[in-house]
Formats: sequence, structure tokens, C-alpha cells
Amino acid sequence: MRRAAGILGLALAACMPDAQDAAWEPAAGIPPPLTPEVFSPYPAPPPADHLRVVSFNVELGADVERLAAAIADAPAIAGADVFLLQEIEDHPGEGGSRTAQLATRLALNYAYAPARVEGDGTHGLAILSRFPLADVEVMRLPHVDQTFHTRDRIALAADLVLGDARLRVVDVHLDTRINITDRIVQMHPAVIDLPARVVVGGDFNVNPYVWLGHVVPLVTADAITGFEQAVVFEDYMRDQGFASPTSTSGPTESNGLTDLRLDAIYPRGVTPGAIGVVREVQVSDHVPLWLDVAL
Amino acid sequence: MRGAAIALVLALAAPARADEVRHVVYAEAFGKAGAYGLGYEVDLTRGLGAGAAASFVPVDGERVTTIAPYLHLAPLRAGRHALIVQLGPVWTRIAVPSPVPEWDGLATQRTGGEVTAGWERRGRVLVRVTGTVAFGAGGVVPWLGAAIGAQL
Repeated sequence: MRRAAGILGLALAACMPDAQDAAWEPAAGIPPPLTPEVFSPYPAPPPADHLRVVSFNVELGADVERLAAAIADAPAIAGADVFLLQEIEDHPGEGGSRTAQLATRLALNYAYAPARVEGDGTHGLAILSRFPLADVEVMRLPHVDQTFHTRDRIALAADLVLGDARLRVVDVHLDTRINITDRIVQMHPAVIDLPARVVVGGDFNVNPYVWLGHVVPLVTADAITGFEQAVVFEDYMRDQGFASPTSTSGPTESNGLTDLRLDAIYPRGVTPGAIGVVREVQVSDHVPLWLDVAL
Repeated sequence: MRGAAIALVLALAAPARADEVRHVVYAEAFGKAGAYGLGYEVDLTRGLGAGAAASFVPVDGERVTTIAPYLHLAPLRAGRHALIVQLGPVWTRIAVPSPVPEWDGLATQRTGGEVTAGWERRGRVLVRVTGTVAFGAGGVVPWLGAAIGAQL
């Protein structure tokens, strides 16, 4: 029995994405064309006892002016302290990266990290913050071959400089058509060595399915059991010491067929408060998700 | 209408003669037991049978086990061709072993139901094309499948 379990374990390990190479790299040390862009000119605002953190997949952010206006017109997030953005791009001839344009319009410090080359530009993650950013790092996450539309995924981390204290924030965007075991392997190196006080947020793509060959979702198994990758993923994150306050957010993405809860914010070492989803912001297939944390 | 209903009940209830009792084994794709299934079925009367399909799908470390017992009805039959309806409960268990040491993994299991309707051609070789509606804790899902088997 033990031997069979060992063989099964070896078989599983052979199928899993390789997590050995995933490590945090300082932004300044990453060569072009994936060199992160960090610009943190705004001084720290007066000390606060709580922060509002927003996670928002902006679906390329092509219309920066409309995106900025949508954020500025939404009272729940207009004054947010930190934005963790996913799927934002940078293309030449647009007057600066879309992150830079958005941050300028919102008067925020920012870090943009490309995950991959996309056409004539790049596609990646961004952190925008009222507080200065320091120690910006990027991790290339374990690669999962999804048969088609396979992507390179990253995590982007930075310290928010809160006077004498710091708070680590991590922005993540995981693969789409992968099973929960691969999802945890992809996420694990990005959370396992984080400091005690940290907020991790992003688009974890925790769809409700078991995938066959990364192509066919076993929809009947989902219908019978109510299986949710989100619930399993939250269980995993809680075991890493994180709270899962946004588990009650309801759907954060609509693809025309179904409404899914793909996005989340997980704090550790800070006290989670109110949460919300800003459904009136309709500039992406996702809606912004926010969480208050007491420092 | 009432007459047709009575005729249907009588047809389904007519006992199968001993030499008419058929046993069927089949393999299905996207049928009652999920992505694939292996099934067995036996005639109880001329238009009524009972069976079960099951599958075990290991994928990326996860293990999905499905068992679907069902009643088989053939309310319309013309020669070797028949319109069939199958209905019954479905038990599914999804086990997620942990791929990392810092988590224990977990498993979930539930029982739901399924209704399948379709066409079959029954000779020594059985062929079925079916549409299935599965329902349970996660909602209602329709899908299309096919089966091929042998009449013993």
C-alpha cells in the first residue's frame, strides 16, 4: 500500500508544473523586454490606521481615459490606497505604458511588471499606491502547459512604505484552464516565504471546474457536487495563515455564459474589515473587488 | 391521450420472457458517469430495465469518482431502434490530494440526479446517442454523449 502511494506520488510529481525555479527577483535586475517599470514620486500621505486595497483585472486597459474615469467616478474605490491590477498592457506609441498613464491620472505611485511579450508590447501586472513603493520584486510562476493559449504567469510584490513601517503587497494572476492542484503548485512559491504582514490579491482564476486535458471542463461533476476551485483555494490559503474575507463577494467576472468568482484578496497579519464589489464599473469583463484592512 | 398513456404503461410493464431478457455492457463518452463511463444494464420488462454506469477519472492529481445507477425506459420502439429515457441518482466524489507539504488537501462528495434521453439501436452491437441533464448542489448542466456496447 505504501509502495503504491509512493508510486502515485511520483506520478503526480511528474505531472506537476516545476516549482523549483520560481524565486523573487528584484525588479531592477530583470532584463528587457520584461524589465519592470517603477515610478514612485509621490510622498507618503499622513499615517493611516487602515487601508483600502482594490484588486481589478482591467482586461488590457486599452482605454486608459475611460478606465481612470470609471475608477474616479466610483466612490468605493476612487480614494483607495492600493490597486492590484491584472491584464494591463504597454505598447509603443501610446504616450507611455498604460499603467503610467493611469497612475498619472489618479496621482499614484506605481510598478508595472510585464509577464510576457504581447504583440509589439508587453502584458502584465501593476501595483498603484498612494504610499511610496519599495523593494519591488517579480516571481515567474511555475509554468503549466494548457495545450493551447498557454501563458507565462508572474507575481508582482512591493513594500508599501507607511512611515516607519512597511506592508508587503503581492499581485497575482494565475492560469485559466488548470486544475486546483496545478493552481496551488503555481501559487505556492509566491506565498510560502512572504513576511508575516502581507496582503495578497489578484485574479486567481478559480473557476468551478475539473479540467480534462486543460480543454474539457467536467461540468457534470461540478453540477452534482457544487465543487468550486475557489473554496479549495481558500482552504489552502487559510492553511498558509491568510484570512479569506472576500469569499462572500459573489461573482467578480462575467464571460457572457456564466458569472464567476475569480478574484480575491487574502490578508495576513493585518485585520480584515469591510469588503465590496463595484458592479457599476463596467470597463472590463471583471469588476473591482475591494477590502479594508486595519494596520 | 389517456389511451396512449395506458398503452405506454402496459408496454413498459409487460414482463420480458426468459429468452428476451437481455444483458448489455457498454462504454460511454459524456454520458451518465461524466466524461466517460462503463455501464451494465439488464431488462426487467419489455420496456423497462435497470443499470449502472461508473467512472474513475484521475486528472492532474485529482480523482473524480462517479457512480450512476438508473432505470432504463424504452417508451417507443420500432424494430431495433428505440427512443430511450434513463433516470436515477448520481454520486460523485472529487478528491484533491495536496501537491505541497503545507496543506492537507481535501475531498467533497455529493449525490445529485440525472435524466437522459436519446436514441438507441440495439442488435448484438448497441449504439446510443444521448442528451443528459445533470442536477445537484452546483446547479443544472446539460450535455451530449454517446455509448457503444454489446448485448450479451
